[in-house]
Amino acid sequence: MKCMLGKAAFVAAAVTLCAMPIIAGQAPAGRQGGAQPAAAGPAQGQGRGGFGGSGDTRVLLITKGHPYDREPFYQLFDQPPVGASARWTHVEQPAAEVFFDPALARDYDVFVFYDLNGNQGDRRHARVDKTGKPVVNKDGTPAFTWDPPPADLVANTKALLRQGKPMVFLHHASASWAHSWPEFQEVMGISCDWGQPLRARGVDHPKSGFFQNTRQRITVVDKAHPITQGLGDGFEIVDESYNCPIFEDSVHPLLRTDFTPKDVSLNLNSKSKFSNLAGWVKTAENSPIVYIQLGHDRQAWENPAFRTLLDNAIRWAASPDAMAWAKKNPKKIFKN
Amino acid sequence: MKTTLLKQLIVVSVGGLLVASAASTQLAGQAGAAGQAPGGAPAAQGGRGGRGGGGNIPQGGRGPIKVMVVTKGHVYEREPFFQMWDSWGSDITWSHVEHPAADVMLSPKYSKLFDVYAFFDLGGPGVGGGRAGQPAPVIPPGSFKTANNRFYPPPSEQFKTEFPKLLREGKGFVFLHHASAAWAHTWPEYSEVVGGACDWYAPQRIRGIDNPNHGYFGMTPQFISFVDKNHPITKGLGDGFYVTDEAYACHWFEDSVIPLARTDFQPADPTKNLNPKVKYSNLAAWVKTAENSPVFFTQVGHGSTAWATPAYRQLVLNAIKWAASPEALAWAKANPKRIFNASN
Repeated sequence: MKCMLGKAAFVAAAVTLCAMPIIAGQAPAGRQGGAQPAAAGPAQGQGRGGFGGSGDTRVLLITKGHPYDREPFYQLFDQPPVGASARWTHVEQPAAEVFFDPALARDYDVFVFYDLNGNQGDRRHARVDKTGKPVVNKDGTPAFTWDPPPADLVANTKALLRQGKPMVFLHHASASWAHSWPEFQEVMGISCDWGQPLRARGVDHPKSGFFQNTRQRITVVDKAHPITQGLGDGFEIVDESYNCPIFEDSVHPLLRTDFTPKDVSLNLNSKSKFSNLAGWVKTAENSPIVYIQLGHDRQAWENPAFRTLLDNAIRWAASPDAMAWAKKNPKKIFKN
Repeated sequence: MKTTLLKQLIVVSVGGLLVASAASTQLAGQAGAAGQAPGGAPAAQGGRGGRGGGGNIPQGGRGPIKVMVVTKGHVYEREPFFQMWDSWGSDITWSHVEHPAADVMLSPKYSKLFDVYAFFDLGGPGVGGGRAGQPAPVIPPGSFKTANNRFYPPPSEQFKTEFPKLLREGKGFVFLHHASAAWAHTWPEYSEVVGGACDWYAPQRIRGIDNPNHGYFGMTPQFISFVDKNHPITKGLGDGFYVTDEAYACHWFEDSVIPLARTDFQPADPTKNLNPKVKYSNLAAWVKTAENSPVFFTQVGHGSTAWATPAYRQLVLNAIKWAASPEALAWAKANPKRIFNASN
């Protein structure tokens, strides 16, 4: 039996088995033996409501540059609530950069980032001194230099944000362009690198902290915002926490974690304070922006509160209200 | 804790310099509240839980051949499929791009990003006309309607314009299994690029011949024989290989391809799936040219039983390497197959 995808054939149920026995091909004598074709495996979200979602919000789902547990991540987007709101197209870097062209971005309502861009092997180079000897950071890690973002990507990003394209950044997307594009960090409101010291807003920091499998309480600090609806006062979750430079003064807080690193100064400049922000909204030029720190692995993705949060974030970002709010409260990031 | 990063030395090749990093807790973040031991690495590197290509190969690979992997329109087992691609990660760097974004990418405008385009998609999939008691389906505008009330959307005008240009530029193209059904009703030239056409769900007219629904035969144990053992794609692979996979009875263009492999599978009654004027073809792999581009197709590769077969993996990897090679590109330019009108 084959399963065909057709958006009109989608139904909301996420795990409905594909059922087209009526038009099945013929069984060759002695060949089929009743065995199921391989595509009928249970782990692919192959129900008609899955495998790309069945909703109206067109999402460009961007990954690459940081490994993740692929299948459960895709199922997060296949299944309700996200899969019932969104219809997603997966595009990995570097192809995703092409869609920053506003003419091409038109086909998508929201960009969702789960990538880590700008740190690929061909964009990062070992730093050497005048004698050609590799330079080592204070912490002993090899030092690098990073290529600046391509000029057309910068121009397109600027144009896209000025048009007001909604963007949702998840978890490790906060490390994109950490060393070579400060404006991109300003778009997100955060900058991370867990492997290298970094400079954010002119302040030098040690490499960022990450704390996996952290049992934590997430508190909703803006209960009136559309993104926090259905979350009550907050929720428990086991997920990876970060200690990164966060631009608290540039964001509107939605969520905070009760996690606190034991020694903040291991990962932040001694003059910087640890931020326990776990989710926020902001604007970048005319675009509504959401950042959610949560979402490292299936412990988060299978948490109903996280699913609600992500669904709310995507739906809010794509809403006329969010776009109007961003246009009314623009944040100039790019010069000129 | 990023345990795998601690267990293994992540060796990052940068400009010919092998740099060991993230191999010890000295490089790690600090322990979390949950008492987790720290780990750390340049986050763009290294696999997570063996989810890369094994060894030190990250998800998506890091090899010299840049491949765009196109899917959507037909379901498949995602993770084992992607693991196959990761397993080639020392030879290729691959990026997954789904329709409709893939349609945009298949243009000379963006061709510098990729050497080879690999297809496991079903572009322009059909939509059923709906059944009593079920919500009416959304019929894409401009769809082709089949005799059994299925609707097939046409490719976008931009795609129809740009794809021929990409083929004329000369790139490597690799088509796998159900990719042979893409645009079968709405873009006959596309079927000519692949070298055949399928639709298992509706009667179709291929090269002016009306066929009934094509046939598919899941989990068929079969022997794939190499009929050209000297081609770079098959050389060194022996006489062939056993595989349990979905076989087809589709309309292959035998006169337009160079056979590389044939299956020993035979449908019991080919006339159920093919016009009697069309002889059943047991072709299982071929090469051809399309405009100035080298093209490879294999019918094999429905699911994880095929993808886990070492000979299959080697065959497809060889095909990717061949499609990216200067020799294949030169061969295609010297033996071009004109498919599209010059105005395209």
